[in-house]
Amino acid sequence: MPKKFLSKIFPVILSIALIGLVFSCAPKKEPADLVLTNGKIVTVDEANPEAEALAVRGDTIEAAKRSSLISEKKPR
Amino acid sequence: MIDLEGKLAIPGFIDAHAHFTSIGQAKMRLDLTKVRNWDEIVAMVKEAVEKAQLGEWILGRGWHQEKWDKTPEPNVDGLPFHLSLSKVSPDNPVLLTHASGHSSFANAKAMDLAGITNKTPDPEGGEIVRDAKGNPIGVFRETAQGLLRRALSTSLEKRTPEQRKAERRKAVELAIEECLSKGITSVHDAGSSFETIDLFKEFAQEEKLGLRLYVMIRVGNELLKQRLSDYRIIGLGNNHLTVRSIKRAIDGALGAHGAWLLEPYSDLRSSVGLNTTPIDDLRETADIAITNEFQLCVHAIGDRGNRETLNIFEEAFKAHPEKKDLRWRIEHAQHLHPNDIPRFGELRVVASMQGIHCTSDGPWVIKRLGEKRAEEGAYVWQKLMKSGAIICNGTDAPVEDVDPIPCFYATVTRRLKDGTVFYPDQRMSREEALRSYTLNGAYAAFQEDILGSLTPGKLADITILSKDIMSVPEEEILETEVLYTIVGGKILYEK
Repeated sequence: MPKKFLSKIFPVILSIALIGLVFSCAPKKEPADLVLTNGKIVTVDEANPEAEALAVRGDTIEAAKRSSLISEKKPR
Repeated sequence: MIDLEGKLAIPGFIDAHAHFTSIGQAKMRLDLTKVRNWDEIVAMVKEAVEKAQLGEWILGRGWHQEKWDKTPEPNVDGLPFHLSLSKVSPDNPVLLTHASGHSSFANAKAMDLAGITNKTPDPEGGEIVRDAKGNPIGVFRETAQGLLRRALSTSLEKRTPEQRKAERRKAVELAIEECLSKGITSVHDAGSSFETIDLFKEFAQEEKLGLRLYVMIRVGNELLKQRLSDYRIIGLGNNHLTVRSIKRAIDGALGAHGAWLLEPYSDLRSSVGLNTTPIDDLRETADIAITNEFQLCVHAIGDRGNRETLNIFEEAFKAHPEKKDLRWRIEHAQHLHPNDIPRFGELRVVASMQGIHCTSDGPWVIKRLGEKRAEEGAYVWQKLMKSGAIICNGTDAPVEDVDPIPCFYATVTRRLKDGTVFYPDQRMSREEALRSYTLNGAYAAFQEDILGSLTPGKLADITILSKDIMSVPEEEILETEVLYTIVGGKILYEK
């Protein structure tokens, strides 16, 4: 899936999560490669200035969310 | 998974003006400014010898015997003998410069290479300090230092191209390590030769750069014309190396009365400073830059230097109305005439400034410029932002430490060492300061689509800090430590 498409759909997914709908409504996805959680995340992004959790896939930020419900890929 | 435990994560710091390889080179000399006594110096040299190649010079700077907590024994005028140093470094010449630069300390090997014996006479204007028997103790005052420096140059000239390259690679490695340890994920290198850029390319291709470099080319117009097109590099090595800008300098620095002013210095009425590159040369550079679609970054400190630079930029933009979104930069933009402040916004010229310079230079800015000019135009961050200018931040390392924390503190407080605040109305808010050190740096490098904020889809360059610099009391900002530096999702530094 191209990254551009991902970055376009993510705000949509996030807002769905934010208004309290179950996160699994969004298309089923692989867990992230790196997750930051349980902190204060100042994003310098006017559309979403603060977050509590951040997910990274490969070298790219996948999501920055207000809740800590992001799951990380389990080591195999 | 990183549990932040309530700590702060921010976009990685972007130092928009630093001299990258020089950061590493500075690390290759021993910093003796903080040692407490001669024994510590001997221990530092011993450690350096263990890491050095056989016969490599060990260099250091900044010792001052008056600052030591005990007088070395034996001594002459409080100055130690070389024997302890020569013992830990029998095969590596050692040259340690005094904090003042007016004397140097050498070990036996260095004196040997310089051909110095107890019969060597004092050169004119200098002194070889000797013991009661007339033997040199290792201290060389004033012009006598030249005897050692010549020996050093002779050794350096003998290096093979491979050795030179190994040393330059080492400097780059040290610079990378230093920046990552301080939470910096991108550096805008304020001027490198093609040769140095070739070295950066090697690092990028080997995926060894770690952080991201945005490099300004600093060579003369003739070389630019010949080779510029070969050096347009965008995002080499997974977005780690970009070269698309040219560096020039129109004047000097304020401290040395080198900044080019419209009116004479308040403390040197005979001088308006220096124009270091002729205007016509800069016009030609502007033409080369705009026709080749390179960004131009001009060092300008004085109000005249800034005005002339804005004029050159404006002229080039008018001659090429077809070229859009150029984002040309003035590096430092330190002191501006009030009429020129709005021109940054109007011309969309980026003001690439250094928060820390404001507080380290603050004590003598008023002496040089007088109260009126200092208030009207020195480090006028708020005035610039209100007129629509984008300001990016940085340290000019190694002129200042590359550490962004003291620079962030200076940007939000403008507090000088003596506790006074340098024109507080021009301070940035913490949000503005963070933006200047992240997103605005990305903008100044045409990289705001991939860097500068923690936005889904952008590269995962993240710095994690021990304190919440956005809300802790001002003085606590300085206690902040970097816990993690993450570049492209990889943890490259962890405390």
